[in-house]
Amino acid sequence: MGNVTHFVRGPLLVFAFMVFFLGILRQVVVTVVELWRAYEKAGDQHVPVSFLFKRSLGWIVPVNALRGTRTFYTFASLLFHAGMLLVPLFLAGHVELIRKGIGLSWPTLPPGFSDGLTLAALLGLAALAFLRLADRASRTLGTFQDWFLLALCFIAFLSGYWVAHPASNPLPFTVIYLVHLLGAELILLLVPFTKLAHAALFPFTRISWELGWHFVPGAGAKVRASLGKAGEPV
Amino acid sequence: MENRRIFVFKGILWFICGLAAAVAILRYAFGLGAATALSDTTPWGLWVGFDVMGGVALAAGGFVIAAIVHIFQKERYHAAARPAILTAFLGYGAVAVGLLFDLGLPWHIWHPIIFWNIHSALFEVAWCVMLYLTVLALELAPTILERTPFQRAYRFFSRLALPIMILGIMLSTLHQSSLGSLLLIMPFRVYPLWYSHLLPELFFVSAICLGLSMVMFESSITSWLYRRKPELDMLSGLAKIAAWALSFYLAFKLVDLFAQHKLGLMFAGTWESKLFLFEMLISTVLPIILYSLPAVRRSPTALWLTSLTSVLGFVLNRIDASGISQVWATRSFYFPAWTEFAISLGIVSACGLVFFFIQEHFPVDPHELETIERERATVEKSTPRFAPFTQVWLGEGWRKSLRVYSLLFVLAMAVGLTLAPKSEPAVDRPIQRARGADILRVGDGPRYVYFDHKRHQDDNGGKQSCVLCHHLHMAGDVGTPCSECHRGLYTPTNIFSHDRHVARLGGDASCVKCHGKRRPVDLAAVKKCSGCHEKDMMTKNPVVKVFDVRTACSYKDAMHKMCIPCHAKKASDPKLNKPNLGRCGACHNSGTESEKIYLAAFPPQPEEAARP
Ligand code: HEC
Ligand code: HEC
Ligand code: HEC
Repeated sequence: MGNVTHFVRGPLLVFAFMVFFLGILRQVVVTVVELWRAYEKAGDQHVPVSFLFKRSLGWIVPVNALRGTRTFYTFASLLFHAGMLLVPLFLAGHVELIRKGIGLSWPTLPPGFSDGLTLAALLGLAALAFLRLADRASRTLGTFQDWFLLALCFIAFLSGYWVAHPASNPLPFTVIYLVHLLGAELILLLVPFTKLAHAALFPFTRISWELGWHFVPGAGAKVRASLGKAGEPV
Repeated sequence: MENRRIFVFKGILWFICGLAAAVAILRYAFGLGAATALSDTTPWGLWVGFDVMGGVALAAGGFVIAAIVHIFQKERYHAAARPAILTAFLGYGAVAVGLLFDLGLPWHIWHPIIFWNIHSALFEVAWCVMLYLTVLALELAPTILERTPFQRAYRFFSRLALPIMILGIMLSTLHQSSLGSLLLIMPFRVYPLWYSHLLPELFFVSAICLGLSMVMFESSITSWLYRRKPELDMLSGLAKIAAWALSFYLAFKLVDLFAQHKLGLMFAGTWESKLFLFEMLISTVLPIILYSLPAVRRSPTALWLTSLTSVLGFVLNRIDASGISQVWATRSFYFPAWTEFAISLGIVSACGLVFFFIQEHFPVDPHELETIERERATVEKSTPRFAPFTQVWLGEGWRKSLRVYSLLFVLAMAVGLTLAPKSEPAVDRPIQRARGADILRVGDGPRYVYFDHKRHQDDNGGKQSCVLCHHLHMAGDVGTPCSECHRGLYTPTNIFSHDRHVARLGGDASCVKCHGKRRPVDLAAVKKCSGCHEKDMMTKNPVVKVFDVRTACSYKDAMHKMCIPCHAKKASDPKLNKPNLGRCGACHNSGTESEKIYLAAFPPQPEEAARP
């Protein structure tokens, strides 16, 4: 067991981080290059790029998002995203490990607060899964990837909670520790290659949607007119 | 559809480049010690042998073809001129890049421009590289400029072409041989079979042979990759010339060996002689025979294989001369670390990619370029798609290659950054467990100390004195030898096994026994080792009073910190009358009484006695 743990928390972890960072960098570069090429080819080149860019960034602000159409869904998603962004980065235990590994450290969350966030994220994930099942459209549109990533995040958070609270953990510590590490590493490895890539690519998504309507000059305007939103970007 | 062959081939090159990029980062972050297997006795390894010596020699095709076409006026070979010059330019570029890795202080690479040391062979080499690289860039300029709007510059450089060409031939003649001069100044390092006063001339002649083979190799591999008909007429002509050049080299080498009375050495049966024969076989003898056969000259595949053999043979020659043939003098074993291979292959791959890029965008071979551009235009017209998950716009053709190549590059880089060593390997010797209780030989390697265990026990108060040194024992043991815990001669050892403690202390529920309930778990608050091991491992020792860390210091420190304080104190004891007991020589001394007793009991093994 010692060897496996050693490998999983050593080389495999380094590899996962490297793929994560380099892979994201690559995706961003490729996206920008490809968007540029698409723009060059578009028949109609009046693309409100900076407006769209700001608009996508605006969705990060939860208040804006909650004003949308699916409030409950958005709320569940917000819970999950808050946990996903804050806990891995600011959990005291993680920061301590990073400090030991590469010597950098930063302020951390109080343990009680990160526990709360973790439980909230688990709740959010469960709600997301439920909503996905309940809604017919999401049920039919959902792919294997959607379910797999949902389950993966759930496992990573749950095992993380147990690693931090060995007393409430039903399984042997080493097992749950390995599950947590492997789950987290798999997420890191998958981010650049799955829909998780939106973590880095979300500012560009709208631009690429919009560009699609510009290949045939005037196509976008017709759609806007029939949606009753003339004058706005699609 | 894009050409599959070239697509796969470039993919491989990108992957290797990614690996090399990772190693390059680590080489600059952690230095040569971490990134190579080089040492003070073997400072020149694969990078000098392959990248520098080999790179220069591989580039010889440039001046050889230029001379054939422009001086001997053989227009038949004109088609090979531009690719050969491009190859030469890239070869020299590779030398410059390779040097940036191999130099200990790469940011001093410009020094030869300002600080002139005209007595140094390296000075000549440095200037030749700089000048010839410039000349090659000028020679390449017309090719790059031909289809650009800068027509005035194009005409200017085209008019300059002939004088520059001649300058280039002169310079590379100088330079090929100056690499030989570099080895000329180490007659006692280079093995006699490779060493000769005519090394510069031998290097020059062999560079011509290598250049010819390289042009053939490069021409046949590009025509295979781009699915174009090989220029068999030109190739077989070159093969004939190469056969003559190689024969001349062989004769030259043999006469030179004969004149130095070294012919016998070739068959001396040492591994150097076998290496030499092998090198001569694949670089010279085999290619001479094969190039002379009309059947081989008619078959592109056979020519490709033969030229590859010869190229490998001559690259081996450079590696032998600048590295392997010096091992007999330095007596140090050297085998390149994988990181060295990664950098060398990475530089070659990068050159290959630049070669393809220039080939595909500039009229190196105008006919070829047209075909490539026609293909590219059809690909451009295909319908675009969006990637399902990342919502990125995807095209066809080169955009597909952009994604695949960047993916390969990034993955290789991740692998490289994970696997490459992050620090210099610790130089350490395992400790030999001292034998017997009477006289112990403490330490390993050339520096032994003969420690009279019994006399120390008697002098310091009999059985009670054990604890003066034995401060710690394995649980349940007494008088555990120091080497059980202080395991490295120069590096500390971790004697604490987390897994075993978890098992012994009762599994998961026992975390709190050491780590308490505080969160996050950190090492500052953990229970001290002595908190549990006071009784079963520790003894009251005057030097090491505590036991609260898991690292046992190096063996050398353990000895020095234990032995010296007591010796220093006893040295001033008038009863003992040993005023020098506190000095190094008290222990690090040969011919002592203890040594004689020890050697009588344990006569040294023959191979030990032979050690210097
Ligand atoms: C069971 C393992 C073990 C054995 C056996 C052992 N040591 Fe140690 N030794 C240690 C550890 C662990 C430390 C560090 C203790 C600490 O600093 O808390 C240490 C520390 C020392 C130190 C102090 C080093 C310093 O930096 O201050 C000396 C000196 C030393 N050992 C000498 C010896 C000698 C001599 C022997 C054999 C006679 C010996 N040790 C046998 C484990 C061992
Ligand atoms: C909570 C109590 C506890 C603490 C704290 C503790 N140990 Fe132990 N240790 C044990 C027990 C129990 C054993 C098993 C003893 C046996 O096998 O008889 C053991 C065994 C060992 C052994 C012997 C293993 C063997 O193969 O025989 C070593 C070495 C050791 N401990 C080193 C350490 C060091 C170093 C530390 C401090 C970092 C430490 N221990 C802290 C309880 C403890
Ligand atoms: C507790 C004190 C003490 C310690 C610890 C000690 N020594 Fe000594 N050592 C002596 C004394 C006293 C003598 C002189 C004994 C004599 O000449 O009879 C001596 C003599 C020697 C000599 C012989 C010097 C000579 O002139 O012949 C050697 C070698 C030696 N010690 C090695 C060691 C080594 C190696 C260690 C550490 C592993 C060590 N000693 C630790 C007290 C100590």
